[in-house]
Amino acid sequence: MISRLASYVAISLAACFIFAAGWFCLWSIGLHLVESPVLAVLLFPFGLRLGLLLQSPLRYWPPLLLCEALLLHWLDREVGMPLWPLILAGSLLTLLPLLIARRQRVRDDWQQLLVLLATVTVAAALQSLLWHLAGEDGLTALLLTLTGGLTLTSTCMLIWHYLTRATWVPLGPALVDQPVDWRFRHLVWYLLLFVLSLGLQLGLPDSLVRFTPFCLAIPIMAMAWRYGWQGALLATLMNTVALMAGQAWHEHPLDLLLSLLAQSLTGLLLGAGIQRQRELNQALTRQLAHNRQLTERLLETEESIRKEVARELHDDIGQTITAIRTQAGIVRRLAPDNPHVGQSSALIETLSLGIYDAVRGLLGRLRPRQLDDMSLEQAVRGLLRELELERRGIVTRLEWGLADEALSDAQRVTLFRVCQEGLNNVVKHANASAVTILARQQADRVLLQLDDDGCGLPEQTPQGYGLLGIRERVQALGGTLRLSCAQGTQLTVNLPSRKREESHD
Amino acid sequence: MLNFMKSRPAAPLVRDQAEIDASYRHWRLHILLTMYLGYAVFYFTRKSFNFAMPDMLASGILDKADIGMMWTLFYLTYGCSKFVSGIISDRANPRYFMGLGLMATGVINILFGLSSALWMFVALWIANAFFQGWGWPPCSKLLTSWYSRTERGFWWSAWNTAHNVGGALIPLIVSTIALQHGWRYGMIVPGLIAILAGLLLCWRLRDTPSTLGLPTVGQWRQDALEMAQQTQDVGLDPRQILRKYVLGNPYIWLLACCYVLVYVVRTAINDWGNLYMTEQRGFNLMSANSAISMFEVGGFIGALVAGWGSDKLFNGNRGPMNLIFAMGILLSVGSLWLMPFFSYVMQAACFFTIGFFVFGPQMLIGMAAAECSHKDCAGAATGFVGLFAYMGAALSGYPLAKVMEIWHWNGFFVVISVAAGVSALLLLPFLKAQAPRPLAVETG
Repeated sequence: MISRLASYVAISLAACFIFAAGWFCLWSIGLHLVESPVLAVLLFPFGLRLGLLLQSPLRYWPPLLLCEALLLHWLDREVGMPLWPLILAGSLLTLLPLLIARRQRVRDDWQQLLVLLATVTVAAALQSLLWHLAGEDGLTALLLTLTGGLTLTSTCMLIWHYLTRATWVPLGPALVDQPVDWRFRHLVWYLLLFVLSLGLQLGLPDSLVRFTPFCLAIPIMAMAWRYGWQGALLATLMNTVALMAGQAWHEHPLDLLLSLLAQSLTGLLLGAGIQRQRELNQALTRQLAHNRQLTERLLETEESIRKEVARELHDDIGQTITAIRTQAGIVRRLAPDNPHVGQSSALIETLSLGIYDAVRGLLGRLRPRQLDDMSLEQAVRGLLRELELERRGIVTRLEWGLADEALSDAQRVTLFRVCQEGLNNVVKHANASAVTILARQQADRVLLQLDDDGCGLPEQTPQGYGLLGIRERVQALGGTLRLSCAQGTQLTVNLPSRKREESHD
Repeated sequence: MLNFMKSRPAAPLVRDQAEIDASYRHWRLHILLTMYLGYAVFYFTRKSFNFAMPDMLASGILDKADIGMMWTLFYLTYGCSKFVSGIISDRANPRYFMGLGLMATGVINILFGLSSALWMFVALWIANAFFQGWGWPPCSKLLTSWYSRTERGFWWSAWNTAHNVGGALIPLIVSTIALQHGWRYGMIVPGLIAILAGLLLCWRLRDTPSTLGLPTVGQWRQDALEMAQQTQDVGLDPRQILRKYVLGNPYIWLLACCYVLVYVVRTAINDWGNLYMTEQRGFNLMSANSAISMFEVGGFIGALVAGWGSDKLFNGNRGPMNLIFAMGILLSVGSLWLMPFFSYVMQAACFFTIGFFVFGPQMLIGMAAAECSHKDCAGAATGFVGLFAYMGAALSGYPLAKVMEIWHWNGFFVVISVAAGVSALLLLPFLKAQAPRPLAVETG
């Protein structure tokens, strides 16, 4: 209990010191943009308080508020700020929107940005309403609080998010083995953008006064597109610094304040919008990947069912038909004199042979049996022999660089079917004299290529339909099938290799 | 002859747990207090000249160019000495190393007070810079061997405030003495104090826990992180350790570069601050100096907040706190630059905030350097970054004076603001190293 209290006091003290020092510095910088010290409090210190209170746990609110009150009192004694109780009252009043904002259940980053925007707006309105009621210039107060609030709260959110997004681990000497992650490219981009916007703010002549403000939007959009809301807010921050540096010595503080406000608003809204798109995009990508996995699994399942059915059919029906044929032979021999029996039994034998052939054909379509007994390469060689290409005067060349372990069962079957279909086409339509089959592993893809030097595919063929079915399978496996008939026929299949998929998951 | 300076081999281990606890508790406190006193007194003999200088200027012994040269030479020698003695001190007994160094600076200060020739001043001041370098590395060796990883932020920051106490007391002491008895006594008295304090150090300081027969602090406190650091690369010889963990360690180089910039700001404010106050804001020297001492007061608090906060809020990771404070430096320099109220209190408050933010990184970077290197080269690592720091300090001497000649005070502030901003940027890769990598992809 005591130690928790001590730790609370110590953390509050540390936080108060950092808060007070930052508050004072911001106040002093703000003095350059407004006429009186009390208005300077409404500018950046107001935003700093809002930003910190919005992010910090509720129990650290009292020390921070107390700290601010002491600062105000002290500054009143030093430089004279008769309206400081009004600011204090305002800071208590703005606790209301802060409390409401904390109660919002926000899941996404972009919603958080909008909540931030709403909170700042309401808080600024409350503070300036108070100002107005006290007989002061409420509009100026509104402008100052909105500007300071939006600038500082978004910065606080950015830093807070960066610092709390991970649990920090202490560093040790083991670090020496870890290469420095310079992220030079990013750093150079940030710096370039910053220098560019600073240069534009400082360097452009007055005759280009309409052009300058647009330059502020460009880095915001670029960074938001690249890094999401964090990028947008970071660009806004860089813009703020550039604007302050560029115009702090100019005559029109109102113009500067308004442009600060406008560009903060741009940053926040653009950040929120782009963040929403990014989140949707990510969700979509995830969903797509999920869908692909599902179809892949579907294909695998289908393949395994086909395999099972084919085996059952082969074993059962094969045996049964052999038994039927044997029985038919026995019947014929039992009644050798009866011609009718002989006829019937011959018919039974023919019919059962017919069934056998039909089943064999069916089995071939269900599942290439070769793949159960040998590797894909041997199966493709068998296919070449079976189609008697050499006899038809077609020179074949086979370069096989794929190991079966790198392929899933569905992939093996698909590749085999591609070869089968392609070679069939060659035999039937191409009128080719040479065919080349190339299969190789390429980084994380599997590539299969069938080339012939024939006359290409006929316009409308039933075989084209077969390739269409195969194309669907290939796409379901996350690959592509390309058919080109420029010189002969070239059939290219590209599949993601299975090893990568697994290591990726 | 110098054998007593060497670190003793480990004494036979004490078995009794109660005795271990008792001597750990006793020595942790006493070593800290002794180091604290010793380091504060190192500041006496280091800064004595700065505050005796106005009187020397007035009596026409030196002119401004001589002083600028002596500062630059001092900072360069001090930086080099810090690195060299850092390497030596990893194998030396801090007790005599620090004590004798302090006594030597005392003797040199006394001799300085007795001499009158310029070449003598320069020679003595370079010698002083050399022995000044004997102060920090033994401290970092003791701080890394008596206090473990998870609590070190607090202990180190407590010790670090010796910088500020020494820096705040010395103007008072020397100015008073010099005002009443002349600058010679202003040098001799700090010298005498240093000799006495050096004797005290030789008497009260101890070497690492193992030489007293105690288990290492990681074992004593059951600090897993500390033990991991102890067991890293045990078999390497000192030369290899130095090459691998200090000279070839990119993170140490990164910290060193960052330290250069932090020290540009620190030294610029410290050395030029009173000129800014008198020349630009029209204060007299006494109130200008007292406003500068607010810099040290701010530093006192800032170091404590940064060190303790990094232990407590960021699990002993120095990066995030460093980043917060580096951004604070940028803000606070801007506030001093733009502050439209020229009252004493407002200006002093600006110096306070600058001190507050500067002394965070000033301490954290040194500490991070000691922690990111091998257990047996903590002194060399801190000495190495210290070498760079004083390169930065030297940069803010003559080069900054040139900048001011051409662009006046605006140029001065632009230079230190840019230094502060770039130092924050240099910390980013360090933060990346600490953050778990997969999470870091999104934020850029």
